[in-house]
Amino acid sequence: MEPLLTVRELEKFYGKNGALSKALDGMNMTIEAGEFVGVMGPSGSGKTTLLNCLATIERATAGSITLNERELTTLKPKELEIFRRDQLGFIFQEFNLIETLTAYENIALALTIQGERVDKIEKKIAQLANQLEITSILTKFPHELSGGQKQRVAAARAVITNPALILADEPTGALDSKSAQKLLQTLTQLNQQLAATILMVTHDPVSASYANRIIFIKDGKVFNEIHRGDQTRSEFFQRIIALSAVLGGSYA
Amino acid sequence: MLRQLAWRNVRRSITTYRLYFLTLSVAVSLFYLFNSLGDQQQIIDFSQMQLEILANTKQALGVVSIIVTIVLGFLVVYANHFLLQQRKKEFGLYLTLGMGQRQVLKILWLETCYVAGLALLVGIVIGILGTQVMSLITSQLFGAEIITYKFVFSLMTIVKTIMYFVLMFVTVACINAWRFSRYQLRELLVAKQRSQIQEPKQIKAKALGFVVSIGSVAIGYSLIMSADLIMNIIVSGLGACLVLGGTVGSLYTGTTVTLEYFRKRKSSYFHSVNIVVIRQLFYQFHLNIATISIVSLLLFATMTTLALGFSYKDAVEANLQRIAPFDATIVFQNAVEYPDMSAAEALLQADVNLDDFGQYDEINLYRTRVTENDFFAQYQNANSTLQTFFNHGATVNISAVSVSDYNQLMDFQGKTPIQLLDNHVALISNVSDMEGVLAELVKAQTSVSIEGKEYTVQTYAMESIQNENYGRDTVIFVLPDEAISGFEKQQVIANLSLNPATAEQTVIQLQQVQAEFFDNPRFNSETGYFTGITKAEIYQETTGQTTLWLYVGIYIGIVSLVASVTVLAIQQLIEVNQSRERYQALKRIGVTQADIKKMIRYQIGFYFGIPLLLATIHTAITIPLVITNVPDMNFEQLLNPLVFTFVLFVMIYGGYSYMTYTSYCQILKEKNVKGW
Repeated sequence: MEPLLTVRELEKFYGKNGALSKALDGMNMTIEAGEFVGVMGPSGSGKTTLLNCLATIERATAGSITLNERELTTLKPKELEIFRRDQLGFIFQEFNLIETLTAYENIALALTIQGERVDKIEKKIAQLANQLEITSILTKFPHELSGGQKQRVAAARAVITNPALILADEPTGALDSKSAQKLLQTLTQLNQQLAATILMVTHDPVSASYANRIIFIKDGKVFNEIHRGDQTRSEFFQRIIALSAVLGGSYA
Repeated sequence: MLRQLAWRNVRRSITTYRLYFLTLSVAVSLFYLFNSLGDQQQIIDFSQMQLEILANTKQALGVVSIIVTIVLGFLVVYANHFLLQQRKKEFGLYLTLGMGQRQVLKILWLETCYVAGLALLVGIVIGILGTQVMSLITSQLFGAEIITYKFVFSLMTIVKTIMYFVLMFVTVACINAWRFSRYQLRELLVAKQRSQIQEPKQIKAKALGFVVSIGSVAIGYSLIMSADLIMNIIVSGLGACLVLGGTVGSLYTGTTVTLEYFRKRKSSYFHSVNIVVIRQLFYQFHLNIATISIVSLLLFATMTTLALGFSYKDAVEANLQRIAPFDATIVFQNAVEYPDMSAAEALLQADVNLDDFGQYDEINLYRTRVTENDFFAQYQNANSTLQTFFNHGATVNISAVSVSDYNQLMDFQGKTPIQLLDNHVALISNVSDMEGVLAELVKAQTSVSIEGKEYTVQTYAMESIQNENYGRDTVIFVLPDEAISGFEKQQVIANLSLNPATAEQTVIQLQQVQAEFFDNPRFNSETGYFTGITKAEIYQETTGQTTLWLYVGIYIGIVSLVASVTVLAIQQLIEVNQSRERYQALKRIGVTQADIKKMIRYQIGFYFGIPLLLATIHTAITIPLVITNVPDMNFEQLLNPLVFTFVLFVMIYGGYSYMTYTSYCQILKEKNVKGW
């Protein structure tokens, strides 16, 4: 069977002839359905660019991205919008919740723009909120929530549409360690119970240790990758630290 | 270097400046337009009298211009506040790069100069072009003809415009400097927190409040309708307060009620991006309820002024044609002592020859013992004229004229005479309020006992037997000649038709005579004293005033329209500055570009639309109310002013809201919302 996501010889260049900078320089990777993959790499390694390309927010210079057997790089802008809406879920470092909407409405928005019916929206949100333990905060506005609560609402919004792939960009970046831990458990839960496929970009080895597999990138290419296999989370964490040291550079 | 930076900034932030620039240019052109009124005598053939009106109007507009400049000054300060807000980070960056505060201020100052200079130039050019259109309106308003079509242009007005605006810009720049110096660097770099949104509270109380508000608007209007507009100031004032309070109240509670209504109707609330639009509008309305109320009120005032102003002037003039139908009137007041003397004969005694002035007709006015109180006793509350009359408790004897005198006067004016039957009386009046009552008296074939003899009311006519500066003759009897002979003669009225070729000089001549003669009530010639008034005087007094107020009204109306839309536009654009993340988030979760644009259109549409709707509703109720209550106003006169008002609103309101929309999208683009 085809992998869920295939990235082949992906290139993204910025600037013009004289001052060309290669953010992605022949990136290759695959992700199977149901995986929880972490992407790590030093600053300027191309993490964010990769995520933006996968998110179809930026267009690659060359190469191909296939998700669910569809080639993304050739989609037209309008097709991309629909694709993004139906196939992708997002979790951002800055939450990106809409301030004027309650938590419930923020989650519902992801469904309403797909044209989902009200009764189905209610049912889906009730069920998911229960699983993620956010039922009690659904009526609150983002400014009334803690960072951790906001991020769990954002996670609920990302997963409510059953997207093929959830992209998480430094989801714990703005959280304290306790909230971060809770969120990562939530992501694991999404991955295990709801079979959500997650790609998480992070620079934090602790966050990364929750994934099943880590892809290290450097200078716009895949540098190495490690599988968790049957290891415990702390064993996996040790391996990540060790490999990070080899990789060098700043992770901040 | 700084100069280049400033110029580059202006060019680059043209979207931000676009709206600011537009408002400035419009303000300058309006200022020029209304201050150039005096220059229009270059092409319009004004009479001496009109020139005096023009001079007064010019003076009034000059005073209004000072107020307008101050209002515009506030607007510019407000717009600048928005610009500063938007560019805080940029200025913060300059400071962190080691530029001194003075240098940053200099950049700001230079930018203001460039934009202001350009706006002045564009505004004056538009103003000069506008003057040409304005002269058409002026010639219409004054009923004067345009003698030559040439380009009207006045250096004086340009200098005045530049002076006022330079003064304003300098003031604004000082305020900017003061405000800027108070910013801390940290404040500049960190965007301001949005005020926090909350779920509406006390929904039931607000729903009740909404019903009460709507009710008070209804009660207010019914109070105004039931009370006579002019008469019962307390009642209609109370009504107006109820309408105003009710409207503001319904706006305040209505936002909550509307939100709750939509939330109850889940299938439309949870549809597409509706949640975002509804919540956003609720948030903005809630935050800016005071501005929206004031804007609605201003729009209402502008609409009614523009729509009714012209009609009111028409009405005043229609009334003038009735109350001052003659070129001049001279009244011989001592008819009681000299019952056999005509006015012309009496005047000759004072060395004034009526034949010198043109043609004239004399009418004798007699006094009956019938009082108005008795005659109209049944109609005490029929209209405001009679109400005032009866409230004051005055007892006025009704005058009478003979039918032959009356018919001669009609003949003199080229009007149809009446055929009066024996034992019948005709009623004449020049108070338009009275028409209904007189018609009823005729219809009921009322009989009246005059000096012991019964007469049946045969007919009525709305006519004047002399010039008056306001309609005073509630009713005058027209009786058969033989009936009148025994009555006491009160006055002899001479009405003049001046020789058209020399009319203007004659009026001046008459006014000189009047100054030394008629205006001195105790002046005694051999035979008594005279009073008199020319049509020109009455017109000057009355139309002069209305024309003046009309100009002032249009001026203030258009300025407040521009001010209102600018404020609304700026509030929207401040919003977009704080909402970058929101659109970024929407974009990322897959809201399509088309949907986002639709959202913005709805948001701006409603934000501009609600005040306009409120103003339109109230205008639609007020206009018929005024027209039915003010004599001589009718709906036919309303067509042109309504079209004019409509076109003006479409241009200014439509133009601004469209520009707000394009600027909104443009700013999102510049703010680099990914995927925009």
